[in-house]
Amino acid sequence: MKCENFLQFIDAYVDSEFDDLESDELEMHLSACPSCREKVDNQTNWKRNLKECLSEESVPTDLRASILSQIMRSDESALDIHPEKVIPFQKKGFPKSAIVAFSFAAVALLSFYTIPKIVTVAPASSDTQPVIEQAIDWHRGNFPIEVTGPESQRVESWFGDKVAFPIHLPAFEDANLLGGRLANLKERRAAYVTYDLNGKRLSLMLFNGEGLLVPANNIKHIEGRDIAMVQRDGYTVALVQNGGVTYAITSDISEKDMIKVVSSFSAKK
Amino acid sequence: MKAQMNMEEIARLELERAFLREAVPHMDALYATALRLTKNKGNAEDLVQEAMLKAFRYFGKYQQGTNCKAWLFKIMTNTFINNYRKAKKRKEVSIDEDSKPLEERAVAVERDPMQEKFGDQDTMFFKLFGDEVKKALEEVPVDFRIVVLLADLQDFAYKEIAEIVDVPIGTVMSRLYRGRKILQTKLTSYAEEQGYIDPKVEDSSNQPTSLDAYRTRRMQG
Ligand SMILES: [Zn+2]
Repeated sequence: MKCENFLQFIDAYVDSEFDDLESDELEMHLSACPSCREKVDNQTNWKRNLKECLSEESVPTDLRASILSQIMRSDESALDIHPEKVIPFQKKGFPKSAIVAFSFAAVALLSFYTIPKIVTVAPASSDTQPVIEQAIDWHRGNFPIEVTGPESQRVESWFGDKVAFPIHLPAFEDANLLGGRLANLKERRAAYVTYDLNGKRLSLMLFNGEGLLVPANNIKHIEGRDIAMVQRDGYTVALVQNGGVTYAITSDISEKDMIKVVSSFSAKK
Repeated sequence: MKAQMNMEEIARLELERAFLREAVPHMDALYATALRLTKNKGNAEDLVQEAMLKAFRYFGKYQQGTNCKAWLFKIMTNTFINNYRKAKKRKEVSIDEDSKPLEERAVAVERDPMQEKFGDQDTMFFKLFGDEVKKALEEVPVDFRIVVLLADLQDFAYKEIAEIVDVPIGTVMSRLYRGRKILQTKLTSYAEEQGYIDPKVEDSSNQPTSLDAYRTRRMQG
């Protein structure tokens, strides 16, 4: 192969269009021709430099929140999104309509922290199982985060106008806050945050637990606090009520370790 | 309060989660590309938002597990081209030169800027003049700019680009070649102005040849 033949294919070669078998002839020429080798190196560097130069920017946080909130609207009107109805982002600000206001009439209160008596044994088909399943799903999915830790204040304020309940992140012992994102548990908007706990991932979801039931036989009484503890698919999920907000904590740790984690749970009031 | 969700609500939530898992992680890539397509932060934000919401709307039809990134870029590229053509009305003729054979389109390049050496400091050049690089890229005509962005920023294969832009692979290759040349010529003259490289003249322009030509050649030994 001559240089002029090689150079006809240099773009495709640098762009990795040929598989190993196909590029053997090209590589044979390259190993014997410093001039073409240099051209390949220049072109590869160019490509790499251009990519680095252009990929610095990521989606602004408020744009991301605006898009996600329009996608994750669960009310009927949002079931059919028409492009012409899209709120122009440039008009600035977070579209008010995108903030879902929850209005659930309470059937029974999941408030075993303050009123443990109301906790009811729920039949298998009740609302409790999906909450557990979805908490595990979100944990397992390890979805990209939208706001990064480790400062809990930064993460808390990011959620500020995105959820309809106050966000107070607990300080778990030995856990490092990685970040958070919007999520949903059943039809409810939830705040999802994730921690690193000595190399294990720990997920915490905060949501309005009004009306949700919890199986009474799974309730543990730990340090004056009632905690619902469920094990499923190798994961342990703990549900705690604090200040009117429900916390679902999920990780693939043992129930014993989960109890330790939850005991160190000290959310601000 | 609804004690149970109906099927429609469940289906929608399933869709939401699949979308979060498959599509949302590509949002940064869309945005980085949109910035250079629209040349303006506000327009880039609008474009990404419009593309993402369209994608969500059609997500039920998208086959999950297939090439989601390419699918998203196709939606964004179509949206951009449509908006662009609408905005431009007929002020600017499309630069689409598909109908002309490759040879006719070959510009007289006095030298091959691709091989212009910025010395050992070419990486430094990109670091120092990042804004100039972006500006120069934005001056590349849109049809060429798109393929450069898809190939060099997003690492799409020619075949994927062909599907995204909806042109034959040969056209992708020639547009890519032209687009890179235009960009490099601009940067080379900028680097010269800045005294970053010495002006010199050489001619080693090589037009790309089709992949099949290589494969055929190879088969014949
Ligand atoms: Zn050679």
